[in-house]
Amino acid sequence: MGGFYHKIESLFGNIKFGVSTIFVFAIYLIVGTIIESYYGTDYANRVIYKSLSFQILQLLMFLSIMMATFKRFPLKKRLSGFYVLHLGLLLIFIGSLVTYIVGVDGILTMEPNLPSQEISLSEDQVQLFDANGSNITSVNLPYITMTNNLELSLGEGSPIKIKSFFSSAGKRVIWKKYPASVDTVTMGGLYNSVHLQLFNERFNEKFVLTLQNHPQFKSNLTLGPLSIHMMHENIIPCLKTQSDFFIWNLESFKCEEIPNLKEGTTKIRFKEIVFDAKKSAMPINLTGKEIPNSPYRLFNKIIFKDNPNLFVLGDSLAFFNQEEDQFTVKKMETGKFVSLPWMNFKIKPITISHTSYPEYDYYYQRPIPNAQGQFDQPLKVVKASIGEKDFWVTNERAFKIGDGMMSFYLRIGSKKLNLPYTLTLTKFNMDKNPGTNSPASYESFVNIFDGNQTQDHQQVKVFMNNPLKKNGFTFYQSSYFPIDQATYGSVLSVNFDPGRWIKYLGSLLLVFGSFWHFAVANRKKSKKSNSKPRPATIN
Amino acid sequence: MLKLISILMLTTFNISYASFSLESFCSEKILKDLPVLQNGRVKPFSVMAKENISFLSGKLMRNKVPSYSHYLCQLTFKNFSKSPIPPLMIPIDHTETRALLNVEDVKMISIEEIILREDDIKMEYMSQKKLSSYKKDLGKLLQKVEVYNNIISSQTWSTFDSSKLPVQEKNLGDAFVPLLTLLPEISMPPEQDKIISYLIENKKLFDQQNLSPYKIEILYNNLHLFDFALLLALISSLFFLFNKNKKVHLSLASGLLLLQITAITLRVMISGRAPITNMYETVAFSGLGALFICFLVYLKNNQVNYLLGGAVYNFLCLMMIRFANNMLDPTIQPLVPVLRDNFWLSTHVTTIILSYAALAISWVLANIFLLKSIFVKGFNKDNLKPFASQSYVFAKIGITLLAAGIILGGVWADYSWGRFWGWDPKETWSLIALLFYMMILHARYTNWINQERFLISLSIAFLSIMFAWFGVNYILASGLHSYGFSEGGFYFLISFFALQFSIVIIYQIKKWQTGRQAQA
Repeated sequence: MGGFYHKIESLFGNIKFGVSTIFVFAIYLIVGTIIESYYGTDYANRVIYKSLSFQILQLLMFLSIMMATFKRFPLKKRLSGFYVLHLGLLLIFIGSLVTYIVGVDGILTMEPNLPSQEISLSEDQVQLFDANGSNITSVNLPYITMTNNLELSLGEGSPIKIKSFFSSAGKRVIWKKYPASVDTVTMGGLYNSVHLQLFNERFNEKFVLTLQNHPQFKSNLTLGPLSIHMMHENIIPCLKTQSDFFIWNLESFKCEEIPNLKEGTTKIRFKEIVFDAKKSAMPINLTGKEIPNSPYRLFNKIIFKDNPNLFVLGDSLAFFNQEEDQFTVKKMETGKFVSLPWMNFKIKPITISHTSYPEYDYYYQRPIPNAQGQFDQPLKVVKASIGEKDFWVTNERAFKIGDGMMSFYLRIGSKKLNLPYTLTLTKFNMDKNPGTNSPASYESFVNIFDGNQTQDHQQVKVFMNNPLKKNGFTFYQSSYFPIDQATYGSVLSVNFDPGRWIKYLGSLLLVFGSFWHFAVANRKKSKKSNSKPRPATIN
Repeated sequence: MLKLISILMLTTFNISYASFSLESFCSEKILKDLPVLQNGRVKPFSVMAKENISFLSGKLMRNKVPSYSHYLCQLTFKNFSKSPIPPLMIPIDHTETRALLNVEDVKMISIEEIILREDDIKMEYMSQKKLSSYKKDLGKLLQKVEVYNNIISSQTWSTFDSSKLPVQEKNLGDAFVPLLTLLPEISMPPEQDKIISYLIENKKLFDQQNLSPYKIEILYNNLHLFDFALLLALISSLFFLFNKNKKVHLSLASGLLLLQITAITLRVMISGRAPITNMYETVAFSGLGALFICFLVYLKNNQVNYLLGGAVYNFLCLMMIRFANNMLDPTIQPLVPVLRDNFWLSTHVTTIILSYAALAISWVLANIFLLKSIFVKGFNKDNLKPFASQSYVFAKIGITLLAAGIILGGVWADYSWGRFWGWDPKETWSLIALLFYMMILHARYTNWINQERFLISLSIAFLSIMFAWFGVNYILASGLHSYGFSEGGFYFLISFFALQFSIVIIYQIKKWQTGRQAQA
């Protein structure tokens, strides 16, 4: 047994192993910094700094330092500095391990006058919510870049399985054919979907509209002042006429002109029904109550005349032309752009279809910096399944399962930790450098409400280099975000580090040990040199 | 009737304009020492003028315009004088920008032409999706337009308005107003003598308040201490290399120390913080620090030749701060919030820069040995010992300071942001540098490498320090440490690395050649 230990000691404790470990460690770090400058901190953490191989490397370093120290036992006085120095290093490793296992590191976002107690941590989870927004269950995702071989269940014995995870993803629109059971020939107008690109000198966005009920896409979209509505193409003939109103039949999917329509009237008679154009598109009876089950709806053209409104109708576009005082209808051709009368906008159809429906497809890609060179929170996706059916869950919007009271929502979110007390931001101050707009310093005024205490609350000020400490947790002023013209929300970074004092002690021993060791070596050197002739000078 | 009155007014205007002489009003004498507020700080007019004009056009065309102050004043008052002002020429370096502005054949273009094309430049800027060097160049051009517009609208020349008294130091910004907005109260159209007496009167009132160290800044700029130090450093280095007189060495080193300590102390008094907040300051401080460390080691060992490495490195640093101003910005700017804690700033950064200084001395000594071996006949491995042992001393000092500095940085980060170590590129690279030196020291300690290899390793290991110091800011430029990011450092680093490797390779080749000759 002793022989085995000696083998271990000489293997791990010899200088060549030590230097090699240091070298590999340094290479890992160099690669880590280069990766970080290309792909951002989160990616670098997943690949290098929090990877398993890096942890193993650190373990080897630990063993190397420990064995090198043991090898120099029994204790020798002249090596005192050496022991202290290396003990310091070992303590730093141990402290880091404690932090890794037990520590907490997250952020607390505070909006003014809204009590917060939820800390967001850095691990991702797939979370399940009910219709009221309460979290039912969640499962942790591994801290890696991507995998297609996950075998996770969302909760014990749950039918929801998670197969793939991409920590940063790109998305594209793909088209899938409607099954044969869907009649896209006669009922084509109902199954219209488009993928469009809207751009001018400052703006360039692609979007999808679809008439069918779809988990990812809608039939209308608002982009600033412009509203885009997708509707059944059969309203085109009625849109073109001069009348201000027409009737849309939900059963036959046809539009009908209103006979004897008077100019400027808001009470409209059609067959045996009445509409009050000022109130709604629903038909009402003589007492003013809405008639349910009626297939007729009133279409009011007037409301679409003043502001920019664009209609997508099958493979045509329609909008109100102010100059000609009528609605213009233009046919779209894939790949060709149509000029719109507002803000120099041009719109170009990428795909138009009524036989296929669009879907987002996600693929893994390394993080891409934004226009300022920073890395925003990337799109994260998992591929999940219930039974045979696969679907994507993202961190952008919740995926709905079920209906009405029995609806559930799935999304990717960060792991949360709830504090046993709440913090409320009452005021946020920002001092600027005199005569400039850049922040010199900023501070948060926070109310702490701890339900256990007899006193209602305490008020504290948190600012840069002046954190709030409570129950072993430390809250630091990290940054801020604008809410509107004059108000800001505050972001605090939250930290609980039980390994802190071990690391500090280790650091102290490290520096002290270095001084001691070098001083001793120096003294020995100068003792030697005094008995020898003066060494040759440099020049 | 209205027409007659307006004609009358215009003619009186023109007559008054003629009495306003830009030449005499905008003379150095009047302007230089006026206090103005810019970028959150009260500074002498001459400094503000130099910062603004040199940002716009690099060096002024000296033969046409007397000085920065004169030119900035001319621009501010150009609407009040009939005499023509030399056009402001902006250098365009980026090839794509030149293509956009159709200036492939000339190096400079006037600011007026840039303003004519401003909308095109803005569109081009917005249409670039990625933050490429082209986009940055366009952005800088747009910034220059804004700076120019601020000058001609007098926003830049903000003068003290004594009617705003009393005022506290932290609200100084409230008491400074753009000059031309004050003019209607003084006189409109502007009467030269009235403005001059107003400015002088207000300066006196401001000086009485004692709210700003801008007068020290005037002294600092007039003394040109760093330029004298550069000269003295050159002389000292030559003396150290070729002369053996101990007294001469000591007096030169003391003079050099004194000049730089004075210069840096003045700078501290002006900026109100430790002199290590941007690349310019860290380079200047490391030069002084190296000489200072050498002095301490000399005092302990009583061997004057310990001063050599420090003097040479000091000279190199002074050269850099004098000539590399594209990379090292000498202006004093306000600090970002997280740097505003003077204690941690002073201790952590100072320790790190001193460690760089000590390791730089070992690097200088190693290279002196290598270069002497290559170029000086008869100089070879037999002369190795003093170089190796001196380098070892400075390497030990540097490594201990580096470890201490890294830990202080961790404690500061823990205190400020709540985490001791976050694998930020700057802190990671300081650790990488420490690791490389640790490898060398460990290998030397057990005689795995001999003294010659040790010395060569020290020369190459310093490259990791250069990357931690410059590379992170200029090449990687991400993470919490990029406070002073700018271009141009990339080529400097590449050349530095290439030069160092070339010296080592040539040394090895020469050694191999002499070895073969000896065998033959």
